[in-house]
Amino acid sequence: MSSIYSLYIVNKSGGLIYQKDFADIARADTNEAMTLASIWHSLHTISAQLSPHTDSGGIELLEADTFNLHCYQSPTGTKFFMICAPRTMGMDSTLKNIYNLYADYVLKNPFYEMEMPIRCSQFDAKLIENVRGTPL
Amino acid sequence: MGWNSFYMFNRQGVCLCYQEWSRPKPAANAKDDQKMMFGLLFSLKAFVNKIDPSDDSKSAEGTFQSFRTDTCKFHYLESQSGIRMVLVTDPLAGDLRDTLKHIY
Repeated sequence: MSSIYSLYIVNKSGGLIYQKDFADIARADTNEAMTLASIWHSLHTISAQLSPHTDSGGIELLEADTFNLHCYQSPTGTKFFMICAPRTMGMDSTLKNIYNLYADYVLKNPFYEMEMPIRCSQFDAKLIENVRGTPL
Repeated sequence: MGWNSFYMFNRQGVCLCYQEWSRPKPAANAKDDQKMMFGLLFSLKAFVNKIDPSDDSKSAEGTFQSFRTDTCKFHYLESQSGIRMVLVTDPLAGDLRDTLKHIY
């Protein structure tokens, strides 16, 4: 299932709170990841404003030549977006699963502060298990 | 399949053509709406280049074909001369690249 390249989680102010690469990608540094996350946050908002319909959400799927970007925004404004290979199926349910893992292993962690970077080892472990498809 | 609107921009960002067929939420100001669309396209292209996981440094800069929200789908085509076209349709539309090429 290695068609999933990376996951980014962005808080409701546009700050990056979690980033993980599942494949071998040249990632410059965390600063670049943070910049990309906040750019995405703005693009997501603008696209909702440009929709010809009222009450539109932001971008859910972006199809590019070499990758697809799937985004899920929770009702509280937290955005989960994943970069994957083109034409990967089942990404909506993958994102929903990740949201459930976030709710269970991050939000229910009593030491986790809302909107802060995620540092929960159980979340990491469950995430890898979920994305790679095999238990560690 | 419902078509909502169509924008065509030149390389400088001037909106050469705007057609509207169905727009339940009218834009407050046409000029601002067009500028916002151009800005979104420009920024999306830059974003796609930066986040691209493939290390195709030799190929020309990658671009995107479409993006979709829950209410609409934006189809995008950019020519070699910098003409950018966006067709806004119903979110269930398939791949309309051939249509855009035909329009071009």
